[in-house]
Amino acid sequence: MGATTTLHALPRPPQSGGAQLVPSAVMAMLIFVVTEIMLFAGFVSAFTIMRRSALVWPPPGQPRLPVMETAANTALLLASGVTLVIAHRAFRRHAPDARTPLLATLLLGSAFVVLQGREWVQLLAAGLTMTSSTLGSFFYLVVGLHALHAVVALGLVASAWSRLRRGFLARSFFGVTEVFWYFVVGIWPLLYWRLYL
Amino acid sequence: MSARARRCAATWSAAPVAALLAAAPGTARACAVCMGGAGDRAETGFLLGSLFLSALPLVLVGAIVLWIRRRARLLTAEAASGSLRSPETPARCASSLGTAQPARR
Amino acid sequence: MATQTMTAGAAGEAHAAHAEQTFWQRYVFSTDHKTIAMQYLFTGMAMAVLGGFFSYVFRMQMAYPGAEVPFWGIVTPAAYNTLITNHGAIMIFWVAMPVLIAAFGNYLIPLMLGCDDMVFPRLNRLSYQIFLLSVLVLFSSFFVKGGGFGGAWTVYPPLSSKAEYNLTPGGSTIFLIAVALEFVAFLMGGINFITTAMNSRAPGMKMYDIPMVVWTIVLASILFMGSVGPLVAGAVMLIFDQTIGTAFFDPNRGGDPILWQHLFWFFGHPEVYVVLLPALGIVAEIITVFSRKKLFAYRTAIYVAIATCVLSFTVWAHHQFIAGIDPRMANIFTVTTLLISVPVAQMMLVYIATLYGGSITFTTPMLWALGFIATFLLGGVTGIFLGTAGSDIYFHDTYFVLAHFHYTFYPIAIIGSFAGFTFWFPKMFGRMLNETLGKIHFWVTITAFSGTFLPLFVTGILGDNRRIPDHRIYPELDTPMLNGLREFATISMVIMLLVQFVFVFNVVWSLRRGKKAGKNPWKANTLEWTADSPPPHGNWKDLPRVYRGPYEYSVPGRSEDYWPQDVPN
Repeated sequence: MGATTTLHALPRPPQSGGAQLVPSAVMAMLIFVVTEIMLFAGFVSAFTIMRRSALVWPPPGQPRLPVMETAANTALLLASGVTLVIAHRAFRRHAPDARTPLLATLLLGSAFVVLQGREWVQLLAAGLTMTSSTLGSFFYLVVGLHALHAVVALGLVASAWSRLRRGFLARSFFGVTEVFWYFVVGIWPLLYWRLYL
Repeated sequence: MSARARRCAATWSAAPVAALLAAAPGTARACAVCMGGAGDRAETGFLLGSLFLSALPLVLVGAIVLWIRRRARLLTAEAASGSLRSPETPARCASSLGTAQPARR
Repeated sequence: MATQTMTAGAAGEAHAAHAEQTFWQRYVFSTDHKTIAMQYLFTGMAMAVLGGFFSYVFRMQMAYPGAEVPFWGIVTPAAYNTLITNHGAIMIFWVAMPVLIAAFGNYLIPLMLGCDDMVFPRLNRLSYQIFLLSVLVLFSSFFVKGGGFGGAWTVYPPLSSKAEYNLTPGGSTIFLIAVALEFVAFLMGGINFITTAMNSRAPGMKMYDIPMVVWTIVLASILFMGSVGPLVAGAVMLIFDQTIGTAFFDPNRGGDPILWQHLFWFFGHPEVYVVLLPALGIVAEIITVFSRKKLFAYRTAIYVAIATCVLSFTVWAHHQFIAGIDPRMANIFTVTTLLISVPVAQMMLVYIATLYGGSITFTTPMLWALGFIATFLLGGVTGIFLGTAGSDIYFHDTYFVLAHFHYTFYPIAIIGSFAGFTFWFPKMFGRMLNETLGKIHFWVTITAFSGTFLPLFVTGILGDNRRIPDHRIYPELDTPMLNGLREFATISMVIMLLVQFVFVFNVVWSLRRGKKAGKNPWKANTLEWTADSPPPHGNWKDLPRVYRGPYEYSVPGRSEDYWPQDVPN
């Protein structure tokens, strides 16, 4: 490269004539979420194919997945999505008002993760492991991946909440958090339907 | 897009679908290496999975593109009507600096 | 703060000696899109040397089975598997993608859009670092017990999932990890490309003022984003199968090996178009500049590229016609596969129509671009035989398949890259390449390339299977005719590799002695030619403004035959 590259990382604001159509950070997160949805779609279609091609389903000698308890967990997660919508509206109106619904999202989401974790412990004790059957393999893989996403998204929500409390939550950061949390909430009913029912 | 162009596009996108449907055979099996397999359920599973996976990225990307287009439209409508932008190229905000397009195709 | 940029190279040089920026900061940990592009470019080229060397070794084994190969030795069947697997994977994942998408994308997108850098420069730097990590992880797989992965680059289980089949217990897992890391790197790069193209275009640049190559790289990135998920899912499942003993792909325990093929090719076929599209864009730029004509049907070309993307999601199962898939599916995928040749052929017609009646100059980049059209057409036409389920049953796994996809991938990855590299070399390094050496390099390369793969079409039709390390054990494959063709292909291939030294010499010589390029040596319209050569950090002192589309060549009534995008009138 030329000798004129001596100055490193000049802090020039990104060039744009006016407001961005979609803030770059939100756009980046949207693209990332598309990739993530495709990742889960890959797992879900693989599971569907395996389930259809099995001669006996669910696999004999394996514990059944707790449909009702998880339905309650699902309700918690969906409620956290609703509180985030409320937070979104409040943020638009008067930013500090979003604090309570954002905290509610954080708590509901954490409750979901903790309860799912408890479910894992019980299932492991009942003999459903990663290698015991294809049901177990897929269950831990897909639900574990979702839990991983939920934990990361909770970190974002927590960070947004603490930023808001200190009074400097940028709209784009909130947008990124929202996109990712809606993704975590939105993909779960699909996983629940395919895996549990 | 004019109504005529739209109709034209609809016709052309219907043609490949019709071709696909026409190509779907009944139970003919010319495949010398096809194994017994686990029966029709697995095959249908593969077929459904394939259709699902093929359609999903198109739907996702299409939805985002449509959403951005709508936002662009709204922004254009909000922006000062004096800008020289032609309405069918919503493009983006930065172009509201009002540059004429001398050599439009 | 562009005003703070050193105004002249001399000032920059004077500062470089004692500036706070060390060598490491400037070349290794830079966030500048041009430096990152160079890192990708040279890493990709180094990997191409490795991939080329691998192919040299196993081609020698094909032509002279059992003989000692110079610089390697005796090729054992296990080594053959490792070489062929890694040749394929390196050429696609570590050469075609970094050079065509990451290097040209990083270099051209900000320059052609008239902005100073990517939207997320640090994400961009991280992207390269992860890519480099993936290279190192791949290298490490060659040194574990059993050697590098030897289960073919398509990684079909059960061959890939069971160490007792592929005999490379460590290499197979490390290989998958390397591929996954590489995808993470391109995910970051692709996010950057799409967001930059959306949000940081120069004032006045509308959607249809964007040069073709930016369109195609962005579309390729979108295509990559949409298709990579299922493969990552499959890779995770396969890694679990290999390491902790799950049974996703083990039919004995309820799994399904065909499932992997679907997940792999769901990404694998769009991947062909992910690398094809940037090459198409590069060729479009070159052809318009050296025909001095407006790109024929610019908008149609964009729609055609989009149509290619849409269709490419629906063709993948043509790789599995003989894997025992549902005949209903085979029929659907035959139709879609043949359908996708329509937009690609239309793109070729766009080029030919652009050439028609133009005042063509046969510079080296133009020769490469024309060579791309000629060779890629042959690759596309032979694909018709393979896309049709009926004939594919006969051709599958023969050298016909191999020759076909080399006739598509070689034009894309090698010819397309050379076209782009020779075209933008003056911009990248500020000096012109030597034309005579460039033309020698072009003609010998393209002739030797055809000499390599045309014979392999014939051996394929004669029934030569492509997975056999030593043909002498099959008497019907050990005929004089087949052996002669194999030997001819190998000799051509060695010539093709040797002539690359001419290219290397040309680059090294031109970097020191080449003619100074100036800002716009080709008299092109797009914005990158309005920056200095090489462009400084921040690209322009005053960022350009765009007044028209990128292909206004030979406009009647103007004294010059080009009309740069940033000139008001």
